[in-house]
Amino acid sequence: MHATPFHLRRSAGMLAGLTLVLCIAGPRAAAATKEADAFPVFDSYIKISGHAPSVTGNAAAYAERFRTPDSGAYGIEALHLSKDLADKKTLEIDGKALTGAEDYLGKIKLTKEEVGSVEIGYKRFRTFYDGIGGFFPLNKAWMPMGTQELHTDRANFWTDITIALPDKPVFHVRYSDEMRNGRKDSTIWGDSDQTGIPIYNVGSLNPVTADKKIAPAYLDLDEHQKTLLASVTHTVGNTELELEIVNTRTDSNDTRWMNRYPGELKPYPLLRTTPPAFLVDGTQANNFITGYDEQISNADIWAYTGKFETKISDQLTVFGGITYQDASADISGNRQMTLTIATATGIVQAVGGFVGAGGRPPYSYKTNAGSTSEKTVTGNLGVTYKPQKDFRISLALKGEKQDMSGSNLVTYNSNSIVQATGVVTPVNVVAPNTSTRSEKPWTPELDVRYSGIKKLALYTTVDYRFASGDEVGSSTGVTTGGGAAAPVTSFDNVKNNHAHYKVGANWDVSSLLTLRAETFYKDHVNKYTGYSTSLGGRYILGYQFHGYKVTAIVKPMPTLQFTGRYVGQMGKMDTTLDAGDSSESMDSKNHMFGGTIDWNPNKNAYVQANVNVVFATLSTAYPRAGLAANDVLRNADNDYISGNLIAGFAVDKMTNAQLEYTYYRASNYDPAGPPSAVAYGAGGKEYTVTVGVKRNLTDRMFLNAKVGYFDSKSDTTGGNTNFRGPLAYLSLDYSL
Amino acid sequence: MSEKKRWSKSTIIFGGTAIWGLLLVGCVMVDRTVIMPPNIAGATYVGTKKCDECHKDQTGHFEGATHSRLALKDPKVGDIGCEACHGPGSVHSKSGGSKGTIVNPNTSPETCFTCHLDKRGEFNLPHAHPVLAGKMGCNDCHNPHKGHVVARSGAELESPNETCTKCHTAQKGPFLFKHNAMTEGCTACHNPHGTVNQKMLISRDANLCLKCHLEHPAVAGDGTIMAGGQDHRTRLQSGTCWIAGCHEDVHGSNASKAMRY
Repeated sequence: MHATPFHLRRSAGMLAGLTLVLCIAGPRAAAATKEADAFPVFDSYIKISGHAPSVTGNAAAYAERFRTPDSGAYGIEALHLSKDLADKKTLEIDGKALTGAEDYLGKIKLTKEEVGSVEIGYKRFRTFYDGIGGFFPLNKAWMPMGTQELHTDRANFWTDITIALPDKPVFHVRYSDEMRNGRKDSTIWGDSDQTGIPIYNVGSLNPVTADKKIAPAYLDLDEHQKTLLASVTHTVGNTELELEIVNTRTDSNDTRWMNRYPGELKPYPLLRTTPPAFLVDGTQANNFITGYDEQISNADIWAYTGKFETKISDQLTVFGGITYQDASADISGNRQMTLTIATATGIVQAVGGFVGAGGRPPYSYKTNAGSTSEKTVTGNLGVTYKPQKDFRISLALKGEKQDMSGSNLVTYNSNSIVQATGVVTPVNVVAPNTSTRSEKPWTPELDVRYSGIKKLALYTTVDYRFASGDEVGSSTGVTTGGGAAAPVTSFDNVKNNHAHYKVGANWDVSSLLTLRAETFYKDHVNKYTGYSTSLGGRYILGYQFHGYKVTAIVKPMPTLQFTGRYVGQMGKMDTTLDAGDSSESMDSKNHMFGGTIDWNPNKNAYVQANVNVVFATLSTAYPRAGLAANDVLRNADNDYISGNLIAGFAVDKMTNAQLEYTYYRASNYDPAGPPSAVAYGAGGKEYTVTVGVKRNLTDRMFLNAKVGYFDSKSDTTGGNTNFRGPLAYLSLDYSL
Repeated sequence: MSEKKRWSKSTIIFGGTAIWGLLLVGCVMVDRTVIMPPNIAGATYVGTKKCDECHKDQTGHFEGATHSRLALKDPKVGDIGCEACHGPGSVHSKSGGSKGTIVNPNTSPETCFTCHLDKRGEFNLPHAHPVLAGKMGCNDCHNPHKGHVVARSGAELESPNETCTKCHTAQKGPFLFKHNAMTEGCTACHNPHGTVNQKMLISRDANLCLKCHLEHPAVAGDGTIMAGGQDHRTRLQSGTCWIAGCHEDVHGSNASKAMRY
């Protein structure tokens, strides 16, 4: 019944074809006539808009994806006021105030020609998070976050003064206070045994653990960064000089909240662990642990920089600079993980709680005193030589010296619990941690460019970072039983060798075709060799990546352009531990194919289409681990296809219409992996389609209206974060 | 079922015909140019020298910038290095620098996407920096006018990781026990343009860590997953390396050299 009758399809096809013919013919007739611009650019304007979705499904997932809440957003989308004042002064005001999206901007800038400018501003925007944990497909286990709304706000208040008198030094002072606070999700998910995997009372009957870490976690952020920058730049003769002092004060207090084994409690008396076998309910497999990990850092960083660039002749330029940075920070931590456990006298809750000498406490501690200090001196010196107008060689050398030291004193607070009596005994262990690091990297760099061949530019860049350093660290933890562990101290000599090579060309083959190609190669070796009490220890990481970027721009006619791009990157990594052999630890391949079409079928219309297809895989343990280990971890595939289509055209003299379609699909989710693993691969599909019109209401006012529909499906979350629905958008641009 | 109805062939055919119909009306009735974003109506090329008159601070060091490698001379107007990205500048120049008369890639990443098609695709992914949402621009991390476009690389004075830590201050450290992956840079684990995975990770599972930490087993293919001298096979059944109770402090720790907390 719902099949379209053939004659209707034919009619529709004929109508579409007729339209095409008329449209292609249209511009020839229209070209000779005078054009009218329906949407001139306003010097000063205000844009008021409202955005209203109607979300069915997971509203938090919608908010994260579309960066606005499901309740919509409205207000001033953009404000710009530009006014020329007397005495060569210009005042510019910019603003934005979108309620709901919590996106705000206020900026005032006063500029006086040949004197300078003063600017003051405030910007803030909100980022939304869906707070999901993992999904386990066997029993469709899914743990929602709860009712917490997750979002973080980033804000920045700044003042900026520039004094730029003619032929005088340019002074610049800027103060900014950046803030980031709120609550966001974390991928440090907690455990759950309620995953549908059978749990027997006899351990040997459980070859695959039911414990899957899928319980959501989240972070409370409170971060501030205040920066005061003062600089002066001046040109003396052929030399540009720049001096800069920056003081940065960073205060962060971030707390991660975790739930491990939510809803679980082992019964007491304990279940028998000897045959005969019986199934244990997931809610009785473990004990609930909940808590937080708060990390506080108050850093004070001073940086002093001087740079110069001297043009000795038209062929020769010398440049260089030096920076000294002194960073010191007070560090503290407060991690409190509370165990809930059944005892003979009832349920007990204890921070860092554990049972018996063999029990390991969930690490809980407070830092009593701690600080770090880092001093860095960096300098570079280079020369640019142009033996010919189209031939440029630049050679530079960068040297660094970095010394870091730090220490703290941690008190682990655990509680020994005797289930038979319910007695709880605090066990406190004071544990020092120390660390020193030094590093001296050198980086020479060569850059050569040649464009002496007609319509062809060639270039190559090589840099090679080689560093020697030393790392000494000692950390002290707690053992099973809550006692003090022996400090783990390590002494390592460090050697880094990082080489980068790049060769490329840009060729305007003709007015129809432009080609660009580049190949690169990276070769890194990071070597840590133990000495003193770490003698014999060794860790070497090496990797080699190579890749290609090829771009072709084809313009068969002035109104049509195709752009195609391929980016490929292939790499291998290898590790060596102690006296062992080197072995391959990674093999990755990444192929990206992109294409864009820009088409003006006539001057009344345009079509833009973009598509990206990516095939990416990263292989480590699989399949080389072998046997049962191959069921634990498969390759990480990150394939996807995304694209969008925009078509715009003039409906009448005062109206434009636009159609937009976006599409995304990833098919990396493999539910066949469990029960031996958690399936993480990204799988999902989504699209949005919008149709809009923009109409000139008066000479000073435009209307922009859009309606659309969105649909997002996630395989990775078992459909729990799906959302869909219609949306509407309306805006008014008004010339001020 | 309802979706099939919504997107039936009839809907597509007649919806498409309706849109073509609108286009038909436009073609026949309208004598007006519709500008394909991010272009500027009526603008023509004026050459870099014109830009240089007002924007010396941007043009002064462009010759050494990464993107200048792509700036070939146009036989008609000479060097159009600036206008290759900012679009033809005649309207902007005549207006005395009026806002909206020149393409500003920092507010319209479409210009960058003209060549960097792959980045458009990555920013479109579910987990990406909010460039398409207009909350930040390409210029926040890349300076196309001076030096390396991958900021602070090569022999430049500043540290590469500052590109990320200037905003992500909690990851700046210094930590007592740093994750040496930071020496390789944040991009060892994250793709800042966007990925299919949460937190813009290049892999959402233990492969992310094992690429640097997978060690030679005692016997090849013996069913172990060795890391840090220990077999992690059974532990990885529960999830990633950085999940709760394991190596949680991936950016660096002030209490545990193994970055457990």
